[in-house]
Amino acid sequence: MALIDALRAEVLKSKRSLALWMAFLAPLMIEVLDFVLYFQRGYIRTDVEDAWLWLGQSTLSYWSLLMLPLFVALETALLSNVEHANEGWKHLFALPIPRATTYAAKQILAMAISGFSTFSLLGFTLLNGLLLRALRPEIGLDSSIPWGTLVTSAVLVFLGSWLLISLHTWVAARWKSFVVAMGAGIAMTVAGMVVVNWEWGRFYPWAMPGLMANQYMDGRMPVAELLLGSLGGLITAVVGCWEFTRRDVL
Amino acid sequence: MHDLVIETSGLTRRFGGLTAVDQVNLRVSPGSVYGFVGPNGAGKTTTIRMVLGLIRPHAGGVRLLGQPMAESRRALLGRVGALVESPSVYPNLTGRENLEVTRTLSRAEKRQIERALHIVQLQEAADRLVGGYSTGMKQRLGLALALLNEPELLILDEPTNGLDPAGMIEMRELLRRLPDECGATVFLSSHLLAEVEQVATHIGIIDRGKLRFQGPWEELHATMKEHVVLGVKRPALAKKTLERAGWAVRSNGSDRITVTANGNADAALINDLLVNAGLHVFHLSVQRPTLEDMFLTLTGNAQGGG
Repeated sequence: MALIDALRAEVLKSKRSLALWMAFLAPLMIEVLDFVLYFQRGYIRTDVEDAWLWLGQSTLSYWSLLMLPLFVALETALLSNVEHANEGWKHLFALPIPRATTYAAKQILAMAISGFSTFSLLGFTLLNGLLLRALRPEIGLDSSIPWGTLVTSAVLVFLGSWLLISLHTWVAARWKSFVVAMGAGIAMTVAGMVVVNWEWGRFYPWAMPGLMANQYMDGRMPVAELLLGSLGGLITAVVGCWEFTRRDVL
Repeated sequence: MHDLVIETSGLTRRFGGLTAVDQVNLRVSPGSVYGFVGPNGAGKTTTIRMVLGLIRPHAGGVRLLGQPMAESRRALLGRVGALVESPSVYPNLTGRENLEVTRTLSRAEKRQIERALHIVQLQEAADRLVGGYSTGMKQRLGLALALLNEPELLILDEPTNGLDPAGMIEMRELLRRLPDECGATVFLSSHLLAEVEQVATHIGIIDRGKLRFQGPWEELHATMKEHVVLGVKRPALAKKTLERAGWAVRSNGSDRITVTANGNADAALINDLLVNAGLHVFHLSVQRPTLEDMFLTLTGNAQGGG
């Protein structure tokens, strides 16, 4: 099937580049810092009942509000830059594979990398906690691990991020400049820090995944945001694909 | 009767107020090496990009291998190999890995990679990173990419781009071998007339968007006259002598004169005429018009002669 071929080609093109490694390294870096902090401090948090829940929640929140949007901007910029920098589009579009398939492969890989990194973060957080508990039993992670809540939160973050991934995939493909793609990501993410204080801020694509996780932890299932993120993301991907693939390759 | 390999009808494209390609009707026959020539900015690359479906024409249509591009684009592109301007290669991959990427997308067989590497003679460097390749090697890799799916039609836009003289000779040898080795029709564009002259069987001349000439090399050749260039001690007198006998003569300044004439037989006649008139001839050569001469004449930039 053409899409599988296109995905294989994308993975091959990422060889010896940071694109795929980042999915693993970005969450790992956060966890190493966390480990050092908590190990040195000796306790997770004094004012919570369930330290596991707090640990998972705060790490995921920090990741999804700040790191994830920047990470998505970087990944999508890298995936398209490999073509922009090497005049790849004119070669790809003269091959017997539909243009839409090439675009779809880049979008799907960006989604896979984002999902992988989010779930890796969760995995590393849990490993982190177990390691801290083994080395410093007094640290307070005595309760059982709230798997259900944490995994559901991670799934919400992933599905909610589809809209922002689609937007970034399109921007990265449409404009040749790496600076434009990253700059847009940085600007939008920083704006998100302000927008969180606004009542409609929960629908702002760059803040949405993080706010969805927070909402869920507070006991409310963010249905509207879930639909906007996942369905909105798919619709945006289709529209972005249509727009990009009908352009002339000058 | 074989279908034309490339056939365009009234192909037109504008950029703002400029008509870059103006009602171009290409006719490329199977088995030929078609040299598409014109100065920089004449519309060669734009035409090629329209033929490949990379740019949408504002008017006109394209038929490849007998079928309209608009209807069977994907199937046709599977039978075509293209190298458009610079090669599209990924520096973080080896030569072989680059070929594997394209092979995956065009569904060619694995053995095609070795075959393509062999044709362009990159087997030894195949496992080195492309980032370390010379310009010539990258160009050859670009050609290998175009050859991967054993195309019936090879479209090469400026294949000697960025090559040094040695690289150009190598590429020229390669291009000459292709129709026999691969059975493909070759369509190549260039602004280097001397290069095209060496390999092409058919010529298409484009200038300022319009196709000025299209046909077999001999046909173009026949429209231009040969010259005999003579070096004589007394050019003015020689000129008068020849003109009295009915030849068309032109002075080149200094001691050379050019006579419009055909071939060696005429050259001998002229030589005899001058020698019998007591004029010593110290230089004599028969000049076939080059593609450059014909090009200059056709595009209206002729500077006399011919």
